[in-house]
Amino acid sequence: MITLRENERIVSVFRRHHFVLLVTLIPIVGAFFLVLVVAAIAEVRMPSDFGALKPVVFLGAAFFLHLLWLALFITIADFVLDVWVLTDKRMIMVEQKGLFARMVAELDLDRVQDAGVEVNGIIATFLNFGNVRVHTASEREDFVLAHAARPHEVKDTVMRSCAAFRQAHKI
Amino acid sequence: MVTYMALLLSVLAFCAVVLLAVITLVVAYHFDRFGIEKNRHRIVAGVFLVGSCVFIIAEIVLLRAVSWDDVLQSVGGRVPMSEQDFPLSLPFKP
Repeated sequence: MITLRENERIVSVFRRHHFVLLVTLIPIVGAFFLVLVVAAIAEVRMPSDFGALKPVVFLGAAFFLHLLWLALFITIADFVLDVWVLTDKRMIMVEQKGLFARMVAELDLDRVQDAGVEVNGIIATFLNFGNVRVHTASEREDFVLAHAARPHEVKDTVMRSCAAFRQAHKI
Repeated sequence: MVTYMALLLSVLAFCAVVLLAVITLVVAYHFDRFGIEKNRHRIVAGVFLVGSCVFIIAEIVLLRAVSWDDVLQSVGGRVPMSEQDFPLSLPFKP
């Protein structure tokens, strides 16, 4: 969980577009239905001589379905936990990589120099998602939120918060 | 021999169920530990845990229903071989 500083409040929380999650989930859901179909075919077509194998086939199917269920929620967890939190003092970028790797970076708003948006392709244009890139004054590489939903709004919100922060601190 | 193999298979299958249960808890922990909007994530984690419990119960029920001795019989020793299957004279008895 992210710990906020004293008198710090969250302005906005940004995530990737749901289309990205959908594309990742399609193969898992497809495999889910494939296992169900294979189990159903095995139930109907298996010769009676191999009747003892039926519970084993169902057990195998249950194992596979459980693995796919886990993969489904690991993917959702990965999507949900990749997040940009914009507060009135800083930006926090959290990137979950699998189950046991996690990268958290933060950037004070006075270090933000500029922000840009990249929208590539027909789908990204119609569904309104793209990469938001925040250039910083530090030597560290830019902050990039890949496949952000409504990237122009994200960029505007970041720049507005930076302007408000500079005005409040007379920078 | 068949009984030992059956025992080994049932133990392995049980270990697989336990492993899946452990992974389930790890994933649920991630939802709870690192979430920003706590309540929203708890609903997702709840759905996930309920689904996983259904799978684990189904696996345990199926595990109890499987007769590993019969499975090994139907896979390996269903039709005993006879000398008629081997017209050539072999140096050993199959």
